[in-house]
Amino acid sequence: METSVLIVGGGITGTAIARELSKYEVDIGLVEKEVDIAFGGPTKANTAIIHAGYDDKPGTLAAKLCPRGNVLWSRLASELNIPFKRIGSLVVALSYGEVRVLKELMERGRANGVGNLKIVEGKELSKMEPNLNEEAVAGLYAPSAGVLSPYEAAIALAENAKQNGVSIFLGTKVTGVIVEDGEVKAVQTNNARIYARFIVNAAGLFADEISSMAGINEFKITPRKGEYIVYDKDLNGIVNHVLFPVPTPISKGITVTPTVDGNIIAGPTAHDIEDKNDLTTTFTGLEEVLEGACKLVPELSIRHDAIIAGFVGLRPQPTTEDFIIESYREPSGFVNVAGIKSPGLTSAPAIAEMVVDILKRDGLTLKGKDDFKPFRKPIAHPIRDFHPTKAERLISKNPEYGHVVCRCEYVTEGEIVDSIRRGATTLDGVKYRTRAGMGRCQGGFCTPHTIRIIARELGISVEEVTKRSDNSRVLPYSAKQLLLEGEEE
Amino acid sequence: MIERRLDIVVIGGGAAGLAAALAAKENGVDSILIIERSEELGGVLPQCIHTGFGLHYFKENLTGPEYISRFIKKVQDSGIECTLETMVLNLTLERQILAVNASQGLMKLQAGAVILAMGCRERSRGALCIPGTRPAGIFTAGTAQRLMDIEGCVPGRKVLILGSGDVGLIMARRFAMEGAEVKGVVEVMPFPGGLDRNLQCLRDFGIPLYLRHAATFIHGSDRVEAVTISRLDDKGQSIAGEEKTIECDTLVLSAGLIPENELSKKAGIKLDPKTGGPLVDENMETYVENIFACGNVVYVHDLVDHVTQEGEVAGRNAARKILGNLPPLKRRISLKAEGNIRYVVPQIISAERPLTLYSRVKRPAFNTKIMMGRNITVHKRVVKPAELVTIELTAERLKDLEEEEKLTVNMDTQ
Amino acid sequence: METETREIICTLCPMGCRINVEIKDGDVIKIEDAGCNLGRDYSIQEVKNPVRDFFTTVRVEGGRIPVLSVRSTGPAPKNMLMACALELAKIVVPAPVRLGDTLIRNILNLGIDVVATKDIRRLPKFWKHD
Repeated sequence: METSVLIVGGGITGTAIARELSKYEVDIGLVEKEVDIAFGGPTKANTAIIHAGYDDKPGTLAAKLCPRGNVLWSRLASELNIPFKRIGSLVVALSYGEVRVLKELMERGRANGVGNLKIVEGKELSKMEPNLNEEAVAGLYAPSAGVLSPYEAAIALAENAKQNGVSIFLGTKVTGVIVEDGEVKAVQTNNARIYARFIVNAAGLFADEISSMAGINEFKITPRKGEYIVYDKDLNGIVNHVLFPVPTPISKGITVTPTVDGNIIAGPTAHDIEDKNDLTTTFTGLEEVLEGACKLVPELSIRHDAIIAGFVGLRPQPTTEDFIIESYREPSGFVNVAGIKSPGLTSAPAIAEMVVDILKRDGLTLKGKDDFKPFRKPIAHPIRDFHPTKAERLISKNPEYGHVVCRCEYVTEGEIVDSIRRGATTLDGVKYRTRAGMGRCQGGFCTPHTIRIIARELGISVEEVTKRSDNSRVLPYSAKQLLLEGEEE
Repeated sequence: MIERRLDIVVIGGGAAGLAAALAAKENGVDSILIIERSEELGGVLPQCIHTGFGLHYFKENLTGPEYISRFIKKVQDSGIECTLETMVLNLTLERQILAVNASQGLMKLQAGAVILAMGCRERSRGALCIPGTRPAGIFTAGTAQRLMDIEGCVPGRKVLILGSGDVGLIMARRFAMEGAEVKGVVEVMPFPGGLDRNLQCLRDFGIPLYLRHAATFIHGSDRVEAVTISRLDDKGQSIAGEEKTIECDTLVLSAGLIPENELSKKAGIKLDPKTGGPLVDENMETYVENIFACGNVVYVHDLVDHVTQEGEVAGRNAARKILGNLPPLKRRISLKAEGNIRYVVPQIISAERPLTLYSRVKRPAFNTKIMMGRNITVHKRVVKPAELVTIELTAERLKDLEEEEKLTVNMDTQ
Repeated sequence: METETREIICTLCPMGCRINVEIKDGDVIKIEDAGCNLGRDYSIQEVKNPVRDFFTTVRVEGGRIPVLSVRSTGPAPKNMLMACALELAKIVVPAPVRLGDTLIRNILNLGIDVVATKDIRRLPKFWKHD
């Protein structure tokens, strides 16, 4: 197998790079070790914020790429039909001492080219956020901040990249990088050897390991665990903007924010851990999130009944202070795109541009495609995004869109089938594409139906349907199987 | 879009909805529609394949499917219209209903009266905030029951069950009878949550019951591999050092039912935060005129026989309201549950006629007195959270009721 | 012979009396805390020959759903429950089935039958399969 550019990693960074490169006449491949795009980790488990760009130290890559990415997301979200809302953000000073930090952030923002920041206080602040802690003294308002759906974004980027000729290899894990005469030649994977002139390492939590395989050991990635709580859509409206506390040296703090879908989430905590596969939630983490959330929105302390889920995201924290986006003299042909923690999601489109520039500089001829297809067809959600005439038309064409399967999120059979046709092969794959199972009952009603639909559409048995990987079969045994097996023994 | 006018629309075709529709028909209304979102009528009963149903209503000991088949048959024989796999999307205070299904698309219905019978849903792992991983193999008990007894799967082979309520105990037995190994039933309280006699399920199969324990960690990245449980102290906190990690591939959660009132909330129907369901008067009418409610959507019941009877009250009264012969309640006395009384239903009474109130206590108590207002005292030998407590407002007792608009219902332990 | 004491929870009615019995040489010699005579009889039966009504499912071929709920027409000895479950695991019943249909007569010679507790119509299935 041979290609010009091979991207390692199917998270938001890898898929953004793939889509950007797909604008050019060049062979591109992307390998992702998990069974589906965005399954790797950080992309599907973060605060889902498009940051304004005042947090990052001026002069860093993050400081440059975050505001640029923020601007690029409008167009990208609209071309690819990714849910995105520019709701604005507030960094909240809960004491007079903290107001100084707001001013510093505003200065930093200006230095980074974010000029529309404003400090709001008193009545203006409480009008913007009626449920904000009364002790809040002031807020730094960033109108350009927003929220989007990070996994839907990665999936949309991958779909559009594929539409434009990128070959995507799922379940394909890089086990080695072949370097000869100071040049990278290929990656070895669990499936095949893929020869490539350029390798772009966007492997997230494992970027340091991939980089080591190419002989570049300049950085290490430490997983920084962040726990989150998801609240029922009932609480929609309790906050109107992304709410931050004043930041700490290691994190932007425990945020309370609406999601683009109408839930409220709180989090993340920030604790460095050892195990890159440790996605466990904890009691202490839960308490920490609640404490932070209630500091901003005291009413949350009596709304534990509205908690519907918790999850964990691991940030790929680099040993450097900044994104690592560079290529090397030796070995040539290897581009590291590593340490993409916050503001990684925001920066992704800008990171992609930068990687294209690096590849051009390093000798890759990039001629623009005449037939580049920038648009992804909007996905119909006839009941969830209800519009009577549109819904009627769609249901009469395809009755499956009139059969509501996920009752909490109003996801129809038509959407589930569509998601499978678009590439979902697992329960989580359907979930991230349709939201089926993300509602208040957390799949209690719809899971049996979704499993049957997956089995039917993929032509497999119900027992073979998995949650997200080969080892996560949901219903491994058919009726009477255990009794009959027991008898055979 | 289909647009129709109907006298009575029943939202939910389970035990409550079927009883309500039948009673409405018997009381003289013909224009009735039952809207059910599943592919068959019966609600949860078709998957409750154990006995214990109908002891009061039919004086027979029936399985769930047998019990509900009698009502389904009556509905079919009486020609009451039903629409299946139809989801109600919206309800307004003026009783306009927007619904959708595959074969007919969208429909707008204007109902003379609406009977809410949507039942309840189960508390999920996410809502319980159990720490650990999020693997395949975690099911709520009702989902596990549906998978096993309707869809023909065995959800796992080494099962741990959280919650010793009746559903948890019944599922323990089902799993054992399907050849799975049930590693235990875990209960946070110091006493079992279900009826004592259902404990027989555990004794019969040698399944350990861990009282005063909680699940504190779920292990397994792709599929459940083990669950750690901890002993709890008097305050419900885990005791360090008193953990046990139980190897299993399936965790079944039987940790509480929540009345399913999303539509009621959308419509703006006033709910009782203590029941999770609409506030109702003794006619089973909500605070909104001509919107009635019955069954688990009002509060979580213990016996389906009682759900049926309550459905009949709602259906009968909805019909009488449509026909113009349901007199308004002369008094509206608001009952407020306090102390060890978690809730009392109905929340509005008239004191015009004898009535049974249903209530649930927070903690068990023995030789206790339930007090309503200043003058009414009802003695109870034993009260337990797992069993609804009845308060009979007999004619005698009603005579003693004081002339107040609000009465507290509380409990005094001797 | 030793005297054994055992607590038996009666299942006949929701009272769920916890009956305490003393057993010697396999015989019940003392019964305490039974709320009624039926309970007393029940506790003796539980010691001498505990029996259980049982209910489970059997596989169905060609029906709208793949399993049929069934019940025993009378109680079976407690120690035969799994044997009955296994026996029922072996059969596959063709649809249509009517509530009350006998699926196995005199299961394992225990003098009880196993009957269907619901109707199952013939295909098409509720859910479109291949």
